[in-house]
Order: sequence, then structure tokens, then C-alpha cells
Amino acid sequence: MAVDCLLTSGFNGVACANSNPGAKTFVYFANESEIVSYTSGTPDGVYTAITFDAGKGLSRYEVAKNTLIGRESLQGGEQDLSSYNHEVEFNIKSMGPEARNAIQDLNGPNMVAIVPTKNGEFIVLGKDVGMKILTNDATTDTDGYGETVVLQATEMPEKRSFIFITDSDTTLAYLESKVVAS
Amino acid sequence: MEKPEEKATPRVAKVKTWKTKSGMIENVPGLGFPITDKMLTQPFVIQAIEAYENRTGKHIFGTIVVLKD
Repeated sequence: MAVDCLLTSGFNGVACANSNPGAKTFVYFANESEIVSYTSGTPDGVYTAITFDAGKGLSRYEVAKNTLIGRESLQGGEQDLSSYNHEVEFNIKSMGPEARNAIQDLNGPNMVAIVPTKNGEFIVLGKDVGMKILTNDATTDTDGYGETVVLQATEMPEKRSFIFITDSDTTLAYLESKVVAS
Repeated sequence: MEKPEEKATPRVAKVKTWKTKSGMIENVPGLGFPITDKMLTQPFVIQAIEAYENRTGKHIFGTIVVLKD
């Protein structure tokens, strides 16, 4: 759903606001080209399933504690434009070959990211367009030690989406069942 | 006594009708429109999905869109 031209709804607030910032210590990636479909749920922006090409699925990345960040930002607001940039940032605290190769594999494919938050949401970033590595800094220095990566999708027609099936535990189990590489 | 020849009843080809496997709206990246059961009653929608399958090599029919009983 792209941007609406008329506001037709209100907002009653959130009955029980979970406002714990931060994301968990793992993130899922999928090749955008291997996704067949997203099954719509309710409300708008929530999907209850992802169908992949046969034999394909999610790659799971373990990342350093408190370094995984999912974000989006409106672009071109001053020019009356309305696209969003989606970004995922994380750090792997290693300068070893495993970390190097894990990040090397991310450099090139067009990916969709699923970021699990500490509130139990599963945020989908880069849907339909795909994310690419924007920056990757690797250092032996104490400050930012290891591999720090930012992936970005630009000119996204809408804000982030969600995967949600019944509750966060069920959703997590569903996503884990879709993992083909970890 | 000779048995009277039975007349073969002409077979009527069953028209294929489709539905989404999930019963929900399916959103296929790159297809350009959401797939609903209502949409699947339109022949041009079937043609559009077939064209998408041919273009991308992806399988929609038999995976997220299935035949109605």
C-alpha cells in the first residue's frame, strides 16, 4: 500500500504500550528474489506468512549484543515527497575469517531483513525492493571492534512491515522453521 | 440379440477455478497487484499471473494459488 492522499483514520493510542528499545541478538535475511509471496494479515502492514521458492528460506545471523538496529526515515519531506529509507545496522565482534566471510556473503545480494525487537515484534525491512550493504567498517580498534555493517533500501514506498502469527513465540518458531542457513 | 449401441456422452471440459491457498490476500513482489480470491475469478488476472511465472520462473499456481475443489 503506497501513501494515502486522505487521512481516513484516527489513533487511540496503544492499550498496553511495550516501549522497550532495542533488538535481539540475531537477524534474519532473505534473498528478495527468492520470496514468492507475503500473506496479508491484519492490520495493514502485518503479514502472517512468507512463501519462498522451493528449498529457499532465511539466513540467520548472530550479532553482538545491543548492536542490532532497525530504522526507517522519511526522505524528501521538504520537497513534498514521501518515500522511506529502511536500514539495518549491526556489529559482529570478530576480525576473524568466519566474520569476514559472513559479511562478504552479504555484500552483493538484494536482501530483505527481519529484525526481532525486544518487545516481541518482527520488523520486515526492504520488502519488495531489497537492501544492499551501504557501509561496512572492520577495525581492530577498541572503538567499534569487529565488523560493523549497515544495509539500506532506498525509495521504499511505505514504512516497515511486520511478520506476526498469533504471538511472538509462535512467530519466532515460524521464522526458525524457515531458516536454511545459520 | 445385438446390444444397442450406447451413445457416448460428450465430455464437458471442466473450467479451472482458482483460490489462494491461505484464503488471505497474497502479495507477490514484482507482480504489481495483490492476489485475492475475487481477483482470481477474472481471466485476465490468470493470464497476468501466468505471464509473471513465465517472466520470472517463479511458481504461483500450485503454491500460493491452488485449484478450487
